[in-house]
Amino acid sequence: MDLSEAMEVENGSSANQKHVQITFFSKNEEVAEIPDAVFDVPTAAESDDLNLLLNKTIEANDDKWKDQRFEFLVGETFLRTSLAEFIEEYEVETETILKVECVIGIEAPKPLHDIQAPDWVSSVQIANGHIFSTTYGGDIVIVDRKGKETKLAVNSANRLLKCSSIVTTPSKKTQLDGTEFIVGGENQLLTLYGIEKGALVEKIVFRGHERAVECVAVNSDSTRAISGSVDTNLKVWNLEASDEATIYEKEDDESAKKRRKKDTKTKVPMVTIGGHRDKVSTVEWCPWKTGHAFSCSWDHTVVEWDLELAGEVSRIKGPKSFTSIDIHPTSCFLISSCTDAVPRLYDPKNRGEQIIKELFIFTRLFSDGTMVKQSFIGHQNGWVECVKWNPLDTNQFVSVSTDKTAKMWDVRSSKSSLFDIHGHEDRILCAAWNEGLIATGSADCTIKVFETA
Amino acid sequence: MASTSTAVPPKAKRKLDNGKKKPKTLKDEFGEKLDVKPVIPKPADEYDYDSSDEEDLRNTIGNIPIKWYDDEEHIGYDKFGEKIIKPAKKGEIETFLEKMEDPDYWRKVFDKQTGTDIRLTDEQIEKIHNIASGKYPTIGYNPYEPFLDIYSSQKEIHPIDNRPEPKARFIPSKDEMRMVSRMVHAIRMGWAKGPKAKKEEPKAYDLWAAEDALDNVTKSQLSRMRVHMPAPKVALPTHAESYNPPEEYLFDDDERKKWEETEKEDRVINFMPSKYDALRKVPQYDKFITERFERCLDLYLAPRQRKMRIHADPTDLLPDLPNPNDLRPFPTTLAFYMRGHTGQVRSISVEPERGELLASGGEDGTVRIWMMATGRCIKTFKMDGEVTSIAFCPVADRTLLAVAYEGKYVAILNTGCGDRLHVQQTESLLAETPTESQEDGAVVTWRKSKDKLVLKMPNEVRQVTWHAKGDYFASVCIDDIAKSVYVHQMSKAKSQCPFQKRKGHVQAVTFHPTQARLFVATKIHVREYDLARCVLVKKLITGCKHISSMATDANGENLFLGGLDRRFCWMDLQMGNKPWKKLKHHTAAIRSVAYHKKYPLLATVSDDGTAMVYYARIYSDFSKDNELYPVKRLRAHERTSNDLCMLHTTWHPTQPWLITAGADGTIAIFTY
Repeated sequence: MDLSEAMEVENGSSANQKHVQITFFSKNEEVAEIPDAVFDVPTAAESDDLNLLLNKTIEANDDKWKDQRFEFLVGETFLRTSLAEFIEEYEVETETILKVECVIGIEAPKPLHDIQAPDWVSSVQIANGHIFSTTYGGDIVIVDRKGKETKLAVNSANRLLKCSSIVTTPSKKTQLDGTEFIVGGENQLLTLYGIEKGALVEKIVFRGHERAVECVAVNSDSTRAISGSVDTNLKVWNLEASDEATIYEKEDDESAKKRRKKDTKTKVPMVTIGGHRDKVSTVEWCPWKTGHAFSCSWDHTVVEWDLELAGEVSRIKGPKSFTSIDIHPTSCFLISSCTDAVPRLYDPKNRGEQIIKELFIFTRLFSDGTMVKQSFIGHQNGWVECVKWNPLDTNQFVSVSTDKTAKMWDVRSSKSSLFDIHGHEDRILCAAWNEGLIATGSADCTIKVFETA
Repeated sequence: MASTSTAVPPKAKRKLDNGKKKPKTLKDEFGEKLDVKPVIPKPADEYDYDSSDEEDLRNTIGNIPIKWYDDEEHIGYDKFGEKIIKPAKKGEIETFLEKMEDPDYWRKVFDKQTGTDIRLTDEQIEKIHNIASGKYPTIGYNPYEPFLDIYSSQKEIHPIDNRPEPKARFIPSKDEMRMVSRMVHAIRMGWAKGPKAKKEEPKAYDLWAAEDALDNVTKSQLSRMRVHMPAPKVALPTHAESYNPPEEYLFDDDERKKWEETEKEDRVINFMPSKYDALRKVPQYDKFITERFERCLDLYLAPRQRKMRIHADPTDLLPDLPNPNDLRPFPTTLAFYMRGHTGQVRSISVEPERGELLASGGEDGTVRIWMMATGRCIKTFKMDGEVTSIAFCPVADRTLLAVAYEGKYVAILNTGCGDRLHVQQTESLLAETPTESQEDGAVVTWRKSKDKLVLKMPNEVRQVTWHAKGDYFASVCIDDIAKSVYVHQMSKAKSQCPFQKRKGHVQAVTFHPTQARLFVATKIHVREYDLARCVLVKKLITGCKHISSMATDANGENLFLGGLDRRFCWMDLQMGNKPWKKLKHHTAAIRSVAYHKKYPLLATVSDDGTAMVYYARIYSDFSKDNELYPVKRLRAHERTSNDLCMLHTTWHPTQPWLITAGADGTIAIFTY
């Protein structure tokens, strides 16, 4: 092929250089007209060279073609180095023709807003075109997609908020009124807030934790919330309006408080689940099984709970204390972050099946090392504080670290991240990725919002 | 001096010498007798004996230096005891005139004793001349006179002189009598002992003495004897060296060329074989001197001693340490800094059990409560002085914090963080403390104010520490005084000073984690006291020159000490009073040591800006030795101008995380 020869000349390669035969294909319909010709490519070629080759080949067939950046997948891994290094590292067979999948490269996240928060940002959520965040100063900051800020101070200013979760959103898009969300903090309470006519209304107070509430998660039909705390316990709360069973009624000595907050209900937990030996750092609902939830803790474990039976289903042992987990709603993979710089990927769903399978043949595998599907190496030092999946893409996730950077990753590329997001001047504490937006909150009192394609 | 006991009286000699008729003996300037002519004694009347000096002396001062009289007017005394007045001294001019005028001046001799000039007679002058010219002094002098043997070996039957024996000879000596009577008494009483019989050793010639004398041989001599190295020998001559060698030894042209081309040092033989048909035709050997010289060099440079060189692989000398990966977990990386203090962070303490909260006290006079997970400061207490030491109450139900700060105060704070139920309980506990019931004139005064108890101490406090039960706490004062340690009881609001006597400058105290015992560290010693019985249990010799900090393990069986002399000591209390291990891994003073409650981890922090983390496993089983391996050196914080860096350290109660307080106002957390 003349093109590959041209490329060879470009690379200044000599005759004795190794060559590989590759062919391109794509699952994307837009780039269906890739010629299925076989190219003889020098192994020194990198993905930029392949990009040039592919674009010129398509252009030769299709006059209307505009140059695009492709990412190349060999097997299930992204090509990030030269072909030679890749072949050596993954021990690819070079005898047969190498099939290279072409994926249109995603664009770098564009910085959208830089929101100044009154204090360190402790949690951030994105729902219905709005960014909800809580601060260590006890403030709740809500920003819409255009950057219009709504600061909603909470009556007790000196309390410290640590976590939040969206309960319900109004059916109309980008509408703020009618949103309900739940926040938890150092005062050992969870509070359900609703926004009515642009004002914050405290609706229900959930009382029961003995130490600071670290994390809270609401299930998909907004009926239950589960929270984890420093006191090592998980508590399940009933959010249904019709529920009366868990309402806390104590007339005698709480009368003064009641008088003050007449329209605020106080609720006690439905179930309390103990089992962790240290602080629970994140809870997540199981996307494929109702009534199941995952929690991770500083005791180095991720546990799947059956909330109806209030018991443990399975347990993943990690190498270090977990700081956060996130489960992708469709692929059901679990991404986790520990008190080190490496996010780790687990497959809890198949593991469960595997164990059930193995129960039938009377053997059980509980080795934890084999469980890790992938480790993502890239953060410099410090902890990864938070990891979040892109709900729209099963392969992408973002991780934020105490080294002041956020990194966008693709599951298929573990050695290097897709993009590094710099800009924060202090440790990044939380992140959210939803509706094509990435929001990161940091100890430098800013929330940065990025738009992804 | 002759004693009276000698057979011949000494005076006899004198008499022999002097009993002549000679009028006087002359002396020259040197005081020597000029007249040396022996005089044959004439039988004289022994009663003419005159013991006075033979010279006709007017001066009786005797043979003393005459200069003693230089300052006196007289020069001595005559025989009647009258002063002899010094003759008038002649002046220079007078002497000169005399010299010029007096024709007899030359024969005058100055007599020191009389202070006058004596005119020598012609006879005397002639004598002097004779002596000076090596002649006999006088004509007719007989140098060979018969020798008169006065004291002969033959025993005379008659005395030499017939003077009667003095009376003293006939009187028995009283001293001797006393001595004899003493001896007699001693013999009678049986005190006296006969002379000791000397042991006669059999005399025999020791033939092998030289052989046995190896004991006295020095070490170097012995080694030389043992490894004797004979001098190198000269090789015996070969056929080639013969004056008439066989043909095959002679060089052909090629060999000769080759021999000539090779360097002198590289030649196989250093001569060219040559053939002579007769010995008489052999010329003089031209290389004789060179060869002798080379032989001398060989001998001179030959090795005399065998030196044993040890071929050791340097890696073999290193101790066999396990792989650090097997000793995990231990902190390896700096997670983040907690910033907020504006001066040195002097002391930190972690909330017991959960380890979610961290308290720190600093030079800026604040006590801050931090969240461990995020490094967020959630509360700040302003104290009235610079905080020197803080400690969380080890009972998790009580949210109490003991704070020592300058101005001679110790405060017990309710942190108000953590479980709200516990906060309320602690509030009521503080409210119930009977501070009113204390006696008048107590040294330590307890006072209640809002959410805290304040103790007014007699001195500035260096350190506070709690007992594990959470009721007692101890404080150590900075000054070197006797009453430096106080033990306080919170439930009774009482303080007592257990030690009245000064036993050294107390640097740190620690309660035994399970018993009512107190470890008191002075600069070089650690003493363990039983507080219930008020007795000293043990005194430990640490080997440290200046202890700065102390930590115990969970059972109180081991003690870890850090010193300002950069030394770290591990004292195993069941293995005597000496340290089990001493290490010196820091290049500056150790400020703090800490032992983890759950993991076998130990850390020391130092002014050199590093924290050393050790894997320190304690076995309660006696058959197993404790293990101590350095696993990590952690670096953090910036050095301040006064060369301080890390001031305090503590472990997280549940995680293998190390927290260090820096002099630069930051707190660092290291995770693994």
